[in-house]
Amino acid sequence: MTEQTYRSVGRSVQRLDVVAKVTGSAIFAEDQQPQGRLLHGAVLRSPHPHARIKGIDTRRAAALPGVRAIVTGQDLPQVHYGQYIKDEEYLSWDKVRFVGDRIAAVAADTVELAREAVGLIEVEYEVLPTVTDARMALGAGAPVVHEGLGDYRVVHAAAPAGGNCASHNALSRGDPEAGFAQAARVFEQVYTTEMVHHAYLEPHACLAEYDPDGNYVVHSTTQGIFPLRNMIAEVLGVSQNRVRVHATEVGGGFGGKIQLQDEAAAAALARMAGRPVRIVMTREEDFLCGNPRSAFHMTVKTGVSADGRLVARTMDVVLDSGAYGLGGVLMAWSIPQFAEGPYAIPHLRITVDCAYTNKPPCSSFRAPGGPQTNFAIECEMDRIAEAMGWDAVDFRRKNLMPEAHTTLAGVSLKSVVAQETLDAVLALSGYDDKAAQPAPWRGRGLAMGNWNVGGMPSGVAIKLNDDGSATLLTGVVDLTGVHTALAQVVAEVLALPPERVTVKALDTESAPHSTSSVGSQALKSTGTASIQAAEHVREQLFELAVEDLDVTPAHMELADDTVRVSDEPGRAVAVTALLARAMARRGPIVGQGGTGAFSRMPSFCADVADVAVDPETGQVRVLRFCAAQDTGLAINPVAVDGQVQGGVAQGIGMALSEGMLYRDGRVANAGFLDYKLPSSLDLPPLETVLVEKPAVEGPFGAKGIGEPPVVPPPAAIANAIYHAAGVRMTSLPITPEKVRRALREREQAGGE
Amino acid sequence: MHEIAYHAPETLAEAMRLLAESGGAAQPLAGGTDLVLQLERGADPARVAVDLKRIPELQGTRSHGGGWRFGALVRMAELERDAALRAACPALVAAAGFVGGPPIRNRATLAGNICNASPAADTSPALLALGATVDCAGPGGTRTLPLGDFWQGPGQTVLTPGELVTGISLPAPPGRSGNAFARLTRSAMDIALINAAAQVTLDERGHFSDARLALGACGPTVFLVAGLTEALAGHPWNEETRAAAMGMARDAARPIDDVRASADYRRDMAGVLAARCLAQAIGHATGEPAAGKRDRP
Amino acid sequence: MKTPLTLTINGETVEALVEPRTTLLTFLREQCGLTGPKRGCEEGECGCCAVLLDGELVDSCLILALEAQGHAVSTVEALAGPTTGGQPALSPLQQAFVEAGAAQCGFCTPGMLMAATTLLEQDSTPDELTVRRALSGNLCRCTGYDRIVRAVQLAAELRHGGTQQGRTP
Repeated sequence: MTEQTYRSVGRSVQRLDVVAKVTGSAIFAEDQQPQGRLLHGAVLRSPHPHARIKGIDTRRAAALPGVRAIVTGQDLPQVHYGQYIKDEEYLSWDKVRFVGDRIAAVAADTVELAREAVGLIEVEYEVLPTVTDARMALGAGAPVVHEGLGDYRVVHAAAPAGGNCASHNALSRGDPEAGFAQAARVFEQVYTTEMVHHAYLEPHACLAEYDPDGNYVVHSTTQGIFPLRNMIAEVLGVSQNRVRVHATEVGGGFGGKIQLQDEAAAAALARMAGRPVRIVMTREEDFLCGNPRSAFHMTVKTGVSADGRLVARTMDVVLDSGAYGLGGVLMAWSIPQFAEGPYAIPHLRITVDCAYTNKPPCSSFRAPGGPQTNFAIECEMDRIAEAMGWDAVDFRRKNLMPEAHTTLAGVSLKSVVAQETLDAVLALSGYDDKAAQPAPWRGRGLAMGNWNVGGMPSGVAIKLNDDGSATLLTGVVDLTGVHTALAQVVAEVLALPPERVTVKALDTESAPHSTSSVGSQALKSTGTASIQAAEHVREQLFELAVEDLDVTPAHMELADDTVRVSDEPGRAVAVTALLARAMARRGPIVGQGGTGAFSRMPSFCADVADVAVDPETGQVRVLRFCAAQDTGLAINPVAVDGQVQGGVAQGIGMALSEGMLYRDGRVANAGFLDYKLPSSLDLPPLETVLVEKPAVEGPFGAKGIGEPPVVPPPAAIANAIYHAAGVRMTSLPITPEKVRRALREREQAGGE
Repeated sequence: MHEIAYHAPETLAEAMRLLAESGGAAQPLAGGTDLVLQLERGADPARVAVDLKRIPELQGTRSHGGGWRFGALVRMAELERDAALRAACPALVAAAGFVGGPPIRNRATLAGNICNASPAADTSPALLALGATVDCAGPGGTRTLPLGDFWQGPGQTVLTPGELVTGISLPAPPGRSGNAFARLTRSAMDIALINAAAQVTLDERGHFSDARLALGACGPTVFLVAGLTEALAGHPWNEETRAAAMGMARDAARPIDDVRASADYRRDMAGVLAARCLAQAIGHATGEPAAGKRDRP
Repeated sequence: MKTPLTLTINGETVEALVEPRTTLLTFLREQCGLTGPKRGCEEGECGCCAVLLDGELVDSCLILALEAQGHAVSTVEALAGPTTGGQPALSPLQQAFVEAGAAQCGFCTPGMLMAATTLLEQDSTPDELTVRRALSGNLCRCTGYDRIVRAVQLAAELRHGGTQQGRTP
């Protein structure tokens, strides 16, 4: 690919919203002011992990002075909803299936009154036996979480298999059993991970209004306005054009703000009370009712040849979906497509069973299924290399996938940059500078990662203002700086300085359909659509300029607010003149662009972690962390780098301290005190390198990078711990207690 | 959830009157990091909040004869800034530095920490090891008691209705003594899953003449490991005494399983922290770094 | 029962009536219209609500509004200078956050800025560990803290060298 010099893309620019954020004037959902006198909402959530609802009595709650409306499942159409499998009751009328399952909501003059009223709602429960372990849920005799599983409508991805199996999927190539038989050696190991919470610092919050014309307006901290609008409309039983969703600033999402939460309840209350209703989750509620990263149990079997090749692999995943099939069923479908790792394995079978349990339903969290499967894959690579006497780097290199490798789903992966990414992290970390003996109880670990990013349908429009500045109209939510990148993209095509491009975040009523800010593809999807729209604008300007310049559009370019003949700057016509001409003849210039779904493109990452282990306490300190990320062309390098650092930080948290703990199905660490996020003292400086090889697809060759960085850190740290302390950790999080226990077991087994 | 009344008296007598007349419905409010937290959680810890922060005699630290008296309003951040205190009582200053994070330490008071009576409170083992006493004032008059007699159980003190802590005193550390604090968990914003503090006094040969080791978060209250002085007196710090001390700490610990750690791990760590505290306390006494690399902070 | 409260907020005297149970955070956000301080946990665990009380960093969610009677509160809204030409005059610290890419979602940013403000007033050239310790009561889930630490150190430099030339917004 030839080196291109760009004016706008590829330069670090400040985020469009950053001044608002550093002055405290950015409007988050709880900051959003209503039209009209605000009511505060609170939600009744199930105290039981599994129970049938026999009756709900709201009379005492309704009698509390200051209570303005109460909504239960009786007030809404009793339809099952869900993005992939329709297994959810919005306000439970039949059963509750996890502690936190939504039953009713109250709007009152103050939040204290609303919460007090919630406490006065009387629900008669028939408590049912609970199942909280995914493998037990799949076994015989387990309490059934969804008796109606066979009748649920499947929208996409889910393949229910009866009992508590919300989805089963298996993809394979070749003949793994034959591969194992021929292998020089076969390895097998079980790896497990816990549920991990997004722990965005802004809890779920929304404000709903209802106007007398019968339209709902919902302001929400959401990553995707269109799916949310659709779900609200479905649950309320109204036509989609009656619901307008507006995304406020999102105080962290990471995939945890893509589901319907309390918005429909707030909307129903707003209609019933005739006043706007705000519902903000407490931090505890968010931990109980948010949708965490699923817990995995993975059995990995690997056969290798004597000359260092991965010959055969089976991976059997049991994933804990929690009470509903939100992200769980999606992962059952997607995992076989990426859990080969960054490698090419001739004989491969990946099976996934997604189990219902009486725990909070899991949803997507930054690379759903990625860090979990990568933990197993990369720890095995290290373990196998050592057992076979192979160099850990060379073993990986030998097996990295080539360009156009085909996934188990038959997708050909283009722009494979695996080798270069590995090289980059080795260089950054000085991996081979192992001149000195490593210090006792210190060790270095390597892990590679991969993540496949698609693209989703998106439309945008671009208006040119009378002075030639541009406004991009889009419905994509700016989670990670995508609006800034879009401004750069449009500015590049229209040869404008980025400050003369406004990106207008619209709502569901005014925006063309847009993808959500999920799955690392907001930029790819809306960026591609934006380039199309900008080219459409340019095309229209060029058409209008033909009579001035007397050449065909193929010989024209945009520069300095003119359309001019390429290579002849003297022959130019002002854009403003062309705009005026357009207005007179045919109306304003508007560009449109749209994309459908894209097939997946791979992105690669590689990490090197240095840790110190305290052998007496088992505490692990991360001394240094290096991350290389394959980014394609980085439209806004500083923002891309920020995504890498942030993903690494979350990966380190998942590795060492984060995990949801349950007692009898109830989240036991539903707060920042005991759900341990890394603080500024828990992380080292995060060293990064962006590997920029423009991709064959994507705006200016940009790749999606929101998710990949979170994938390899847990394995890198586990491998580093092995090299520091001589113990292989096979379950996340790697707490001091687990390390200490592993060291003790090794001592007792007569180890060193 | 109930309304509360709020008062901000300017004298100790007025504060005591407000506390006494409410019949137990009033709570003193100093840093607020426990009381306001409970109010926020929808609990009803009190109907009346008596804000002590305007009462001059409860403020400030006085040092006298090599010892200290901390007024009830002295905050963790003030202890952290006290260079003389840090030099003489690093156990207390280190412990104070672990409480929450900077914004918490700007409000949380030493007195409030002991009154909350959490067995995991960081300053408690340090104060106990250093021989702290507690000054109380109530309707029945004033009294001073050893800190070890102050706690009755988790969240329970011996304070009677209307009585409040007016100050905490530390005696002058004995000659040739040292002290240290250690705790386990992450670096910030955390409740200890186990903590420990030691004060040791050495004789002319550098052998133990006295050893006090306090353990926290492994029993219903913070406590001193009994019999430690007897076991160590006359001996130097070596592999034997180290192992003995670790064993005594493990045996004395009565930890529970909870979300933060298992009882087994806590018990094990009681021994590890005991060794580290004692070694560092000796280092403080002698002015040399802690003997043995593994016991360095 | 509503009680009169008089205090200084961002340099201005404010008089109000508050319920005793109202926290300083709720009072600032809902009665004073200052939505800069954020509600992240209401348990003093995240620092999103951090403000300065008489110049000291505190979690406003753990302070009753009445405790601030007669005291001075500063929030993030006080950091920028008066708006000129439609743009706020960012302080060197805010400018440093912008330049260092230290704000992603922005929810922790107001609290971080207050923590950094009070740090730089006490220590004009903090090293990395000092900065990290000063920020240890403020959680961030987006950035991994690196760029925030760099921003604070950059601000220290800007404050040192920048005072003569001043900063253009």
